[in-house]
Amino acid sequence: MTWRAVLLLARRSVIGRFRHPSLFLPDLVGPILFTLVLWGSFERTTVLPEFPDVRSFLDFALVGAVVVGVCFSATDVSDDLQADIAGGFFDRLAVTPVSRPALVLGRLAGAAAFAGFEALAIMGVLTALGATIRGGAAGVAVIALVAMVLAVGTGGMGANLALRRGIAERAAAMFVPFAFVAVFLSSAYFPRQLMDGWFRAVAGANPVSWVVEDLRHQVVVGFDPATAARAAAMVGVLAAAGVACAVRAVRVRETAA
Amino acid sequence: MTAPVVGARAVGVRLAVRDLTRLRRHPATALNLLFLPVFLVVVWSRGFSAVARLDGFPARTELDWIVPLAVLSACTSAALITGFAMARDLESGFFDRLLLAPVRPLGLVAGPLIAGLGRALVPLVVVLAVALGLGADLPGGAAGLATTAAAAAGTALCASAWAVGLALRLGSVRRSVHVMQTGTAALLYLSTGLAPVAFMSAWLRAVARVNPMTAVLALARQGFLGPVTWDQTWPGLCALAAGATLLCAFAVRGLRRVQP
Repeated sequence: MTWRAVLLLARRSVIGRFRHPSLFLPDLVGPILFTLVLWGSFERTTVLPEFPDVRSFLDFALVGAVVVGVCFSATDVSDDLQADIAGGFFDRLAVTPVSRPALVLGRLAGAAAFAGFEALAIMGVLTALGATIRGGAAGVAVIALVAMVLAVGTGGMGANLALRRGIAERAAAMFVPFAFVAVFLSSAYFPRQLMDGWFRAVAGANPVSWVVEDLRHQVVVGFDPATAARAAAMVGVLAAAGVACAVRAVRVRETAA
Repeated sequence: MTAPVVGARAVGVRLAVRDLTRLRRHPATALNLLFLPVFLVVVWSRGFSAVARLDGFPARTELDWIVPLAVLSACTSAALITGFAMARDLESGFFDRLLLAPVRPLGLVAGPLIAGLGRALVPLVVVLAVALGLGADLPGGAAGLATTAAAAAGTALCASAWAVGLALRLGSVRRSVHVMQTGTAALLYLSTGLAPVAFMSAWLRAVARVNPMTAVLALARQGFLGPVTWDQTWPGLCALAAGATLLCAFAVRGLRRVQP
């Protein structure tokens, strides 16, 4: 019963997202456009001696586009949950026999499904524009899978915020800066070797850099099960923490009500 | 007996004050307004500092090149909040009540535009202060600051008008937020925001050359690269004047969509 409820809520979440192109298209177009601008602006930097050996800047930045897209679209989970709370949908579900965690797990499953679609779409567009994924189908599958797990983690954190804040203020407005810092203080779009002193140290200590670099290995070198598993494990930890926080927030909200 | 009609200026000023006051009540929005542009200055100047090592790069450091983009981006974000606020008023029905009141409709658009300009002043000052504190060079001196401020004000006015026009047409925060942001980000980044034209790949160079924001960025940037010249000034001013005229008309025409 619980899993059926999760699936139904996930389906509702995905359909809700696709029903409003003005909501999901920018999540797709934004990272692609940003990556193309970086490619167009910084292609010349690949000749710098410290730049990793890549075919083009587009190959280098491809994983960054996926991670940025997924992180930012997953913050929509908090807005969606707040809309459910404001509209009374959340409270109506809470008086049904559906288990409390299912209420939030459905949203997270929907975010994961959308992230998988988003990752494949971003990779498809960038590949059509000239990027090469040397890891082939296995590399693409790994990146899409990690993107889905990442969406559960970031979505879980956003859901936690939405459930604790209620409808007082857009939770996404609070969560976006965290996502922003995590992504841009990393090597998502530029190699660590070419960064300035303290910035390089921060990017080196940022787990986002580790995930991005392991995924980038699938793009610029080729499919490697060890680095793929390491990236999956890292986002798996984030996803577990995100789900735990979100479920706990549902229970706290239920107790408070 | 009919109620006296309140003039556009009075309505505009009142709405602008209300709009600006609301910023204080939403700390997360205010935080985004200052935090993100300052963060961008740091990221671009430190994370991408190696770009300035390329032969022929026209600025002393990447920071000098990126400051105008950070300033315009910050002012644009600040101005867009005006559109979000208007969309929220449309959702809540407050705007409908204003439309039924004896006020000049032009003031309902003028107020948010004034608020957008006022709000942009905060990130303009903060981002410039941070950039100069981080070591940005300003050989253009006071004239360089003035051209940057003029570019920022013009961009904020255009962004406010764009956001207000979209809010009036789309009518909800969720529907309009991404369109507002994507439109302005595309204009800002498909220009010389990140790199000079000579460094761009062919497709981006072609787009940047016809993008009016390239002239506006040249207006804002000249003080950071050398002395201020009229040749670098007038194209930016013309681009801003044309953009403001078109987008203000877009915003005013949007009123027709919501008037009873």
